[in-house]
Amino acid sequence: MTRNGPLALAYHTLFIAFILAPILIVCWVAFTPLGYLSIPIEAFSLRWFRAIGDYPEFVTAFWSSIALAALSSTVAIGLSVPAAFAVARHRFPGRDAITALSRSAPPTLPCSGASRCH
Amino acid sequence: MNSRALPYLLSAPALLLFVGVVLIPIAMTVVLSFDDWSMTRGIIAEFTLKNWHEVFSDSYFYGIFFRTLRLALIVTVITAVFGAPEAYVLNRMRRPWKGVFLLIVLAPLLISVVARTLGWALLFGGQTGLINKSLLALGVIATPIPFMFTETGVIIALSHVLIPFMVLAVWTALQRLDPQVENAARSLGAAPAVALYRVVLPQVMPGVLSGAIIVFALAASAFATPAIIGGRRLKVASTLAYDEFLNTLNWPLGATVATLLLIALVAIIVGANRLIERRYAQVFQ
Repeated sequence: MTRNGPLALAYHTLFIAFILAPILIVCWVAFTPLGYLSIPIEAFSLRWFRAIGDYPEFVTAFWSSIALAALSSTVAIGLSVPAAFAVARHRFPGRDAITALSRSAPPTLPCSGASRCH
Repeated sequence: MNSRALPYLLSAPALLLFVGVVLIPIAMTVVLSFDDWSMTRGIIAEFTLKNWHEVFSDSYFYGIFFRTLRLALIVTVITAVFGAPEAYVLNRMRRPWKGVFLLIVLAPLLISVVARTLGWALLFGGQTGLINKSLLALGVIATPIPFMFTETGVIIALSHVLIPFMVLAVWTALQRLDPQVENAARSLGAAPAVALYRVVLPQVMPGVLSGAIIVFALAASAFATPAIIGGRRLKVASTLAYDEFLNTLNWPLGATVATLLLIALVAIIVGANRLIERRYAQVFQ
């Protein structure tokens, strides 16, 4: 009764294909030996992976991304864990406002630098 | 330490950050929307309703706001129609598949918008896109499906990145559901489809609706995806505000557009929340 039938699994396969298609095609195209984008790619090559090493701007940008991610997640955890603790363990005036803000604000705000952008 | 002050001390850092990086910039944006602007003098700090009058009197702005909300609504419906069944299928899977596929479903959120959008462009872009090429070769279509700079493209790409939110919301609702209820419906003679439609669906509806609110809000305020796929030709409210800020340099007008989008979204979301909570009051108790 709790097993998925063939129809459900077929739907699931299509759904997963939809989710992965644009991601996998980018990975695939990364192996092209050509200097321009062309699909399907004719031969496999690591040319562009080697090129990363000769492209200092890319390497710097990569480390900046890692540093930013580490720093911002550390700050976010450091600030939000005490607040979550306060909300979970204490009853105080303004508690509801804090939970409402933290839950509703990020998705409601237009992408003006304050919220995540899609 | 005084136990009364403790919760405030614990939440103060997060609240201060929230005030500093969210509330103050928004307040400044609202104030800016009442400033004057001229081509030669830039921003003039004088109170005026000029920008608001301009936005409300020009059909160009109506068109863009209407498009933004229409796209967000279509994306919301698509994610609900396709995401809810996927959540149901996922919920019935066994370990380890459940976890593996949940992670795959979340994949669009974990990947940079640029890589994701480039992927869609490779699949659909012009004559050379993989899907267009195959469909043309098979004779299914006579001309390539236009994707870049079209609403279809923005809708597909936004649905792709926002559907995880819908799957998660419906999945959460399904987890609260006793699987025996569906079995009971079956044993009382309901066909599988009837049990699904009349027993499972009404109970997960609050999940679908709360997912819909998140997806709608994120789709209407989305910036990067419509900016890359829609480009200059297909503007939505957030890309319009961006253009006013960075291309025309008319900051007050951009601020007006941003403020109006914020007001519209908050009104729609608060209204929808009220309706849902009233309609499904028994579920939230």
